[in-house]
Amino acid sequence: MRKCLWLVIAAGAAWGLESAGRGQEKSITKADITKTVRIEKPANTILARQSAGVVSNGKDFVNPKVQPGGVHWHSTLTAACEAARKSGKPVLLFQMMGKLDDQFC
Amino acid sequence: MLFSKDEVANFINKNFEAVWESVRPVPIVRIDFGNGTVLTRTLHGNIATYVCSANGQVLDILPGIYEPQTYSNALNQFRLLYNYVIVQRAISLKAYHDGQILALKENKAPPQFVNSAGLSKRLIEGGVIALLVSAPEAQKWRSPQAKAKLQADHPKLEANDDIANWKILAEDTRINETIRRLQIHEMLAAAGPVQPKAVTKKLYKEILHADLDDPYLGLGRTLFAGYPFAREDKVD
Repeated sequence: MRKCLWLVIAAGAAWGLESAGRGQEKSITKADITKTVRIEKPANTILARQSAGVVSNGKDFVNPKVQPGGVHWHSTLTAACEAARKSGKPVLLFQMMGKLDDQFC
Repeated sequence: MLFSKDEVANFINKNFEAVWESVRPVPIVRIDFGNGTVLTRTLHGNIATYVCSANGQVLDILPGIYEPQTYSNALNQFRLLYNYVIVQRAISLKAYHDGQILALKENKAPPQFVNSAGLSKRLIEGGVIALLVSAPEAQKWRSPQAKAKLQADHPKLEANDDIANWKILAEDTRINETIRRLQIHEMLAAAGPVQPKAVTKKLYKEILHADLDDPYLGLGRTLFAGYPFAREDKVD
């Protein structure tokens, strides 16, 4: 139990506190500032940052689907390139981790 | 979200053929308090926005997360870059990147694109005639409204969290536009004509510092250093 709690809090600190660390770690190279992490931040600081509440019902986590903004997205890069050849517009490719139509992305 | 803002979404729809793709599943942190309350969040900032020609060649890349106004301005630069390099063939893509590198290394504002098409041509025909000029020269091309928008320090924010988050976003934007953009220009100048898949891993590993081949995205050391139960785990 203690191990699980430690791992969860450490993961939350490592993954959730890059924003809390920014601007405070003057000795960190500028390129790394957004990856600044602290392990020992109090739990209430971890939880204070834009955390969404999702009721747990004991089942596996399901990432809710959302509308991916107001942009008209092509389904593949190939489709976008084909459309660009016809329209004369450039292609805009947005890369990310996760899925743009997931709530948590 | 950035693409929920009408101004950004409308600009993209009007000027680009847009597509999004996932480079890997997103890390999700969930803390289950055991009483039905679960807090969920994800790691932000590991995004990249490419502008490509119709044959998929990468022209330029925006690294990471931006505040909306700077993002919109950068997208406008991207559409003018496409016009200047691909449509007009005014200079080579390498020459464009070399010019940006030179300025950024000297801590100067890099040359910028302006639309030199006459107002009637712009309004009636949606015409674009891109011109690459020095940063001070580019200022003279901006309308008073555009200048006022750029000069606005930050949006009207009231909650302390909103102000704190905006400051973080502003700092991210500043780093993206200086350090990371220089790295991207150097990468693309050296790479020559490339498709996105040829540069994605290098971009994420060396510029965004999120190694896609590392299951812990570079955070393993942070997560496991000083782990207090290491001895117990070994015994188990």
